[in-house]
Amino acid sequence: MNWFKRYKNSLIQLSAAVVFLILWQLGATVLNLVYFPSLSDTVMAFYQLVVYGDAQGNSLLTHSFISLYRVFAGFSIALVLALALGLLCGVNEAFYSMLKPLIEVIRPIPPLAWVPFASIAFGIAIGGYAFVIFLGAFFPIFLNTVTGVKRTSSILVDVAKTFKADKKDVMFKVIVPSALPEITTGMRIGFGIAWMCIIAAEMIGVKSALGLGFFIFSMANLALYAEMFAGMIMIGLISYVINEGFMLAERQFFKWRVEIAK
Amino acid sequence: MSQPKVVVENLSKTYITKDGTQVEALENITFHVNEQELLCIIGPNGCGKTTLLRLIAGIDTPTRGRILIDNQETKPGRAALIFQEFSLFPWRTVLDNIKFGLEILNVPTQESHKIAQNYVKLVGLEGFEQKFPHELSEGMKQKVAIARALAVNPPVLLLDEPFAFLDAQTRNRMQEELLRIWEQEKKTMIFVSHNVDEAVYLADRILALTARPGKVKTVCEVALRRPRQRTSQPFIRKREEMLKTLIEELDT
Repeated sequence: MNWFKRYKNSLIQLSAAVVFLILWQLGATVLNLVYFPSLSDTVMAFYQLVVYGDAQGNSLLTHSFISLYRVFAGFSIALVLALALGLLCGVNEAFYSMLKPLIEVIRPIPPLAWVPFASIAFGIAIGGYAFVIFLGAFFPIFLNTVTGVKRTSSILVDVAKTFKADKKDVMFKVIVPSALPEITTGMRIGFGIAWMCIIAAEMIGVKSALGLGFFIFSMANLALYAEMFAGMIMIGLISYVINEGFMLAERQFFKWRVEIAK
Repeated sequence: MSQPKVVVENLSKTYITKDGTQVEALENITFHVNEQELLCIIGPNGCGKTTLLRLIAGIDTPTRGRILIDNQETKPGRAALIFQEFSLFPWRTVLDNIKFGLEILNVPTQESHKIAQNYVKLVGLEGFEQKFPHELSEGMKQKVAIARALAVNPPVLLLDEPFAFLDAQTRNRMQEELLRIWEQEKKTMIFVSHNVDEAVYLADRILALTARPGKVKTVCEVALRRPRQRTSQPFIRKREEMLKTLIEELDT
């Protein structure tokens, strides 16, 4: 039974998923609520939407790509700025304490609170979405970068100095590689938040006729509940794939970390 | 007599800690180290041994006095420093750790690869080139640190209690290894220790520091032939003599 041992975890995960799906199907059938579609109805709707698209002929995949595209736009800007500022704040305490009050006041404002402002300022142009996503993704990346930089062992910095390393060498040969695991974690968390923000932003304010958030919202308005659920499942699937991608990359790139090797 | 390799003159170092108090770590220290000599510095904990090495390595600046290596004021890159704690870059393999200093000096890749391979061989880590530090034993990690320091061919090698965290057996083996490397590479070494046995085993001369603020208490020669026998009478006598010096210091 060697193969059983090997795939034990996957088998357990799979059976848990199957049980959940059965319960969903049974629950929806028994309850018979118009706004709670069964598994089979949702899967059918999902298939139809992917292959034939909605009433406007836009496939579910199109909606997904539009949402993803908006996330990437905002996320890339956030990544570049958060990295630059995070590295600077991590090594320069004075600079960080100057920015800190500003950052700590803006950080608790939910990115979605900016949606009305964003839609007035940008309309339905990509800028509005990018702006909201930027605010969602920036802080986790920034704060994790600062933490990663500060956690860099001062001994390793000293080692580099004994080898005549200048400031640039210390930054790019010691601090950045040392902080990279934290930076990646920040990116993963930031992306998760950005993905949630885009859906909500598409629903509540920055309105265009495309995007997963808009799609779900309009399906609900049309009382097409199986379609609505299909859209929700698409959101879950995409997050899952991206999160796993990040984790895989972390395991690949950070083999040097004891925690990962074990 | 030829020029001493390292000259330390009237060296003092005063720290100001975070809460604003002044700490005198070293006071008016003067000594020299000859070419290819192995000098051990011993002293009670907190007497400024580590501070002294950091000053010689040029990564800290003295409050007063000066340090000359080959008749020139010291600066980073002139003396390699081996740390007591874990000091390898955990994200670099053994080979890439050894290459670190060469990269900073912009040595061409092929050449630096060859040099690094040579030092892997010198410290006896063939077969471990592609391992990450966390896969090595404590003794092996310090060997990598030694190889990394030697790879840039520094005029002076400074060692700050490099074997303090090793078990007794491994420590003895590493001391033998170090002597072998020292003889092979013909380096001038300053080895800091709080272990008298270690100092008597390794040193040409031993410099004893006083408790804080560190001052030079005595300098004495260890005129024993190598390889030294830890259980021989002359060895034990020398050890007793050094221990007495240290204990005096702890009592006062």
